[in-house]
Amino acid sequence: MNATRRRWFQRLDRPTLVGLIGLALLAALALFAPLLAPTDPTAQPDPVALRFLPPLYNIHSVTLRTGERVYGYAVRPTGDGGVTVVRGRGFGRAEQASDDDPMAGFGGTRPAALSRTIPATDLAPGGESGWHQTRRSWLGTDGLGRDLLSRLLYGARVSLLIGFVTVIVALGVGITVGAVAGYAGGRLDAVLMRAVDTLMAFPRLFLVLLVVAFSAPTIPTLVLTLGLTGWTGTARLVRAEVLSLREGDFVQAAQALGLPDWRIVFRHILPNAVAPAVANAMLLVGNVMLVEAALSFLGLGVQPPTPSWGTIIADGRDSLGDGWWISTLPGLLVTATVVSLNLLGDGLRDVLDPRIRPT
Amino acid sequence: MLPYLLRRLLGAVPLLIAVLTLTFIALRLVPGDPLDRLADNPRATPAMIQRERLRLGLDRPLPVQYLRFLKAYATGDLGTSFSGRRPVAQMIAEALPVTLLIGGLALIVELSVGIALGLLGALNRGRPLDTALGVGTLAVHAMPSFWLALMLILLLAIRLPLFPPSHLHAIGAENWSAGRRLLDLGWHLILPVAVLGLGSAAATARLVRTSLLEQLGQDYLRTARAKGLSERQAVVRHGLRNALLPVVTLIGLSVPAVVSGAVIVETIFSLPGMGRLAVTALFARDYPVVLATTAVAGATVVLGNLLADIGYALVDPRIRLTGRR
Repeated sequence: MNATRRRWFQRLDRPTLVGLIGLALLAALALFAPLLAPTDPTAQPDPVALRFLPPLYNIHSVTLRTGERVYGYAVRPTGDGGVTVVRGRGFGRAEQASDDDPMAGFGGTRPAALSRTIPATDLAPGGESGWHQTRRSWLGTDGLGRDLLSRLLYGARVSLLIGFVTVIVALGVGITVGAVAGYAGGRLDAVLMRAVDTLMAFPRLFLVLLVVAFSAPTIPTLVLTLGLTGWTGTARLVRAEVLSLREGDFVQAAQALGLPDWRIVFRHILPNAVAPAVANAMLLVGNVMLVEAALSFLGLGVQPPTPSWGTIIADGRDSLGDGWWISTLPGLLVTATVVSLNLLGDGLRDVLDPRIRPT
Repeated sequence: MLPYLLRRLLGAVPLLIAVLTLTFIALRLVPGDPLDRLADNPRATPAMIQRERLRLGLDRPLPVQYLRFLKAYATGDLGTSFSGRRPVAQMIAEALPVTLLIGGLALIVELSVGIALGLLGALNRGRPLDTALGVGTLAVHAMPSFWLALMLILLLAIRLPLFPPSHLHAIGAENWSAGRRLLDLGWHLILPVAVLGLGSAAATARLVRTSLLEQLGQDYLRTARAKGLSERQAVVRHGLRNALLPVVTLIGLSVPAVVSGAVIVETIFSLPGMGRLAVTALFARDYPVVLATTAVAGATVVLGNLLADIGYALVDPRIRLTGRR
């Protein structure tokens, strides 16, 4: 069958499709985060009562006559019309979890002192449906009682945004440097390529750490620093393409017409030269997300309370024993995103590069 | 061979100077003064800060500072730490062996595991094992290294307390016999080395597999099979040797990754190496230590690349010939 008669997605092999669908799903989660998230990602309704709630448990809240809300992970009748709200866990070895404790089996312990008994007279009117609300906490809460699902959804926006915007910066610099070096040749080419060699020889994390630590780690700083240290591979790819295209007939034709050099480079050569760089950009996005996560982990990335996947992993670092899910879930999301980007990048390279298009 | 080595060594000098220059520029581009941290100290008087500024030569014009910096580093004078007043060279001399040990062991893990898995994949091409290895290596390669470290700590140090979650030695190890101390050190190194080595091993495995599959169709392998070698013998004795050439290049390329990875791994496992020294210095804004750790990290990478190039020349006779010309 003629390749051009098939739809574009039919030309993609299965790994590429998996990558494309995976990335589309993750992008949709990020895009629709405000609609999908059950709560505000930074809301702490009760940092003590709701901390380290495991995934799939219900958050209970009891409304008092005064309007105050008491949060907990279980509500038990006292027998005389009042209720006991069971609150809080993860306080070390104060008291062993009891048999009827819904948290038993999760290794946490809780002090009974945090449970709060509310007499019937203090409850808001309207019967149990009037004062008792429950909400399922799909992915549990973190050490400050914040909803993990909401944080992951909003974190997707921050992580993906930093990844893609950074790579746009890197592509801009890399394509420009590569095109100039490749087209100009000679001494300028040599100087630019030595600069690329040096930057490539440098352990990138050290350079980024150095810049971020001595200035403020805001999102624009991160994007600029990561972008300005991540363009070298692109420059090499584009330069190689431009070098081979420079001697082409269409370039000679353009030169004979007396077009200025910048126009020849940007209008005639570059459109033919950027395909490998664009495919490679997918791998770069994954790379940037990994570096951003590492920076956030060291406390030099996205600053709290803004969630990024890296900061959420870092949040759960000191409470692996109390809440394994906090670090585990964002790490799985980063891995899934980077895998999708790698699959998509490999596939795009095959589709965009005419030389290796299957016959 | 010797002239080639000498030329390569001399060629590394400009790159080393370039690395030092880049470090200097990066620190100077950044807003803030190196003495900011001293100014934070309520007991530091303006006169003291001024004296420190003169001592460090920070009052001179930038080009003069740059030349003095190059000269000091060329003579091995890395300055004195702001915190603790210790010579930076001494701090680096204590931290560097730890990082080299972890990094070296991680490279061994990367190579042995990577080559073994790549060989396994290529020999079983298209079978479920190959597919599983492909998915597995892709996933491990895509994991943030510190997350992999946390997961290993969670599973193998907290839930199933097989390995110690941090530090190089057990408490009280100073009084143990040398053999027991060595065993204890090895025990503490397993998790950090695994984290640092496995991420790159995944990339190596993929490269070895592709490179081997390219060799499998070559004529010399058909000859090897024709003379009666089994498929396994042909691949391992003849194919693997040629397939490993790109891997030698990869080692050179993975040195920056290992040095960067050491920052993360040493921080998580509280190991007293270069990475941790750098991070601690960054948070304390210990300017001389930051400068030195960054420069040494860059120099390590340059030397690592040099070693990889020499290794490549040793393995591939064609490169040795062009080197003589």
